[in-house]
Amino acid sequence: MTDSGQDTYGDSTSASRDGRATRRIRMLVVAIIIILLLALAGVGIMLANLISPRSGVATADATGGIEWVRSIYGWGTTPEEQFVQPHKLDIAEDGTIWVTDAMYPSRAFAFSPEGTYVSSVGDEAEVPLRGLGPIAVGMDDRLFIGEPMLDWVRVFTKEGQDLGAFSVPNPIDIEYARGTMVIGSTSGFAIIDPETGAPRVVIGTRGQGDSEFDTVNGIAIDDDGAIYVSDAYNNRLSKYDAEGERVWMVSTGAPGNQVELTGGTAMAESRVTTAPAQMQLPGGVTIDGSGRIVVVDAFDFSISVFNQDDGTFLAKYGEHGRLDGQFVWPVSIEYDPQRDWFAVADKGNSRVQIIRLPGSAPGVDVESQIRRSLAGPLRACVPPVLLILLVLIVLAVRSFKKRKDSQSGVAGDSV
Amino acid sequence: MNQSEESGLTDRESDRASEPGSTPGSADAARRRPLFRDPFVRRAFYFTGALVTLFLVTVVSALVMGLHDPEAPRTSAERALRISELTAMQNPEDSEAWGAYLQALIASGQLTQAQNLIDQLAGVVDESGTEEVAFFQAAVHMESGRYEDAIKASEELRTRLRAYHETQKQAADTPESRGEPVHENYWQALIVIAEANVNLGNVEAAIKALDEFLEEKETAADVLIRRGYLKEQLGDLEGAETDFRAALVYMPGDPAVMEHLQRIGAE
Repeated sequence: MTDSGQDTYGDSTSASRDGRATRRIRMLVVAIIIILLLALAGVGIMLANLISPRSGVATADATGGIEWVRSIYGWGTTPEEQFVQPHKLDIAEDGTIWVTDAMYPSRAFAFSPEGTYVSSVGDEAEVPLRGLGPIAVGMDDRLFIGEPMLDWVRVFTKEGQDLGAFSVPNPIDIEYARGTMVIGSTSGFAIIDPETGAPRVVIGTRGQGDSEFDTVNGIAIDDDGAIYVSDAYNNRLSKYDAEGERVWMVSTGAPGNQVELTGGTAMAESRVTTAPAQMQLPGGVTIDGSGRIVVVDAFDFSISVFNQDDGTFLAKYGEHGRLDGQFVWPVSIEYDPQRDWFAVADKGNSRVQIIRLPGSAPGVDVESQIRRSLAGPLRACVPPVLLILLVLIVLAVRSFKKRKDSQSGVAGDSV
Repeated sequence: MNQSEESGLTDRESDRASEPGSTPGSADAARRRPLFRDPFVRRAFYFTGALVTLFLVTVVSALVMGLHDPEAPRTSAERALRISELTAMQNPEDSEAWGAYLQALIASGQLTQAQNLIDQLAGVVDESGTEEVAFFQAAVHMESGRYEDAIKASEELRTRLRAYHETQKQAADTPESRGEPVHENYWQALIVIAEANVNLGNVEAAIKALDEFLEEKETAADVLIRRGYLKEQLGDLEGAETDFRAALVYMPGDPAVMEHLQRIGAE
């Protein structure tokens, strides 16, 4: 073997040794990356579990088709700071949920869409409130809070500054949307000037007739200014145009004010109804993203959905119970179009529940899925995705610039 | 001047040099360089760094957006846990408050914490509290899948509760001497025994435990349904039908019971 042959042999042995070492190092690096990825995934799952509340209800059967998101139980950690009977609520444009509690009659509480307590309005010393009932949040950031026992509606800023009050007999529900304010009472409802509080149109008297009402417990206003009202004890749902002319009225169940208390089964007999919704006590009303009228039923522990055009009953969701997603005397409901969810005052369970109903989303399915996802913990993934996009854009610009520079260099050389 | 320039190689050349199986000369060049000069390692490093950065950005985003408020309960289980814990802390002498806290811990699946609390409470609470704690011990065994232990603990609890009841009945001016029945946990322990036996495959023993329960509490519709279902499993359709129909007396028209009856062809 020649010297050069020995060298070549030595070099190839050395190269082979180096190749093996490099492969070992690379395998080590791959192993470290895999371990790191697994660790990140583990921590990620742990954090996701921490952020996403895990419900006590696993199946839609147990909730009557309702998808439970989370619940809000109070404004603090002590037993004294928990809701007792959350009564009425409204959702502001930014998703803030405002709630009044029948057992805490002097304060209205605000929560972020994530359920974190934000602030409250009402202070015993400075802004005393008595027997709070309905609440409505305007797009102009004003809060309207009814005090039924005092026959008036108080007006506040969201920060709690008292802006005055206007008289309304026994305000039971308030809706303020798209510049229209409607206030319901035991004998009907009135379209109110939101600036002065003066009634523009007053509709109804108390009674059981077609043009009469017995406790307007829920009001909703659609994009065209049409008004939907639930008449609790007459067990009816009606639609009125923006001027107060009735468009349609449907029976939603046996009227609660026509029960014959004669004992035995007579009471049951008198409550037979052909209304497909079979509601017991219609309460809060809202309009979902697909334009359906959604009515909560306190005594049937459910939510009924109606067609906007003619009041046709479409579906019913909900089950009685204390688990997440179940109800005990739900009294009011509001829809958040940005997050495609409903807030329900679940009075008997001392909580506000955030829920979703099938078919409530506006737009196409993909859009609604994205909307729903971004309303939840997945929202935290938006900044990293934006960061990736930013990096990709920077890389693309650099590459483009480099190519341009090299092209101009070639052109210069050829010149 | 960067390292490539120092070594007289371009990045591309140095990348090629450190590839396994590359020429001997370039391998020597690669050997002389730090680990990070290996393009594979370098890319892996960049990839890992990017992943960690994205992960951290996600976590920080979640925190900034306030997606999680550790103070605010969101589920019924979280609320029960939070409130019962606070109530127990505020009333350390109240065995019922501790019982509620234990129940919440078991319901939320925090069995280790429940066991620790049981161990702590064992030497602290009074006699009635001890019985309460013993009941939850059986429940923890049950939820942990230690069914034999659950049965044993439940039997012991029942013996103690019965003995305590008899003693109190003989004493003057006690609620038991005035006719107060044996503690509710005496009966609830039977349910634990029944369910533990079901999990052990001893359906007959489970039915026997429910028989004893229903002798005392014949209107317990849910237990009647459960016994009917177990009888159905054993092929005793007649017995199952009797139990389902008895349950219907207290739950007229209940859809679940009707479904059971329909399934065994007895509607």
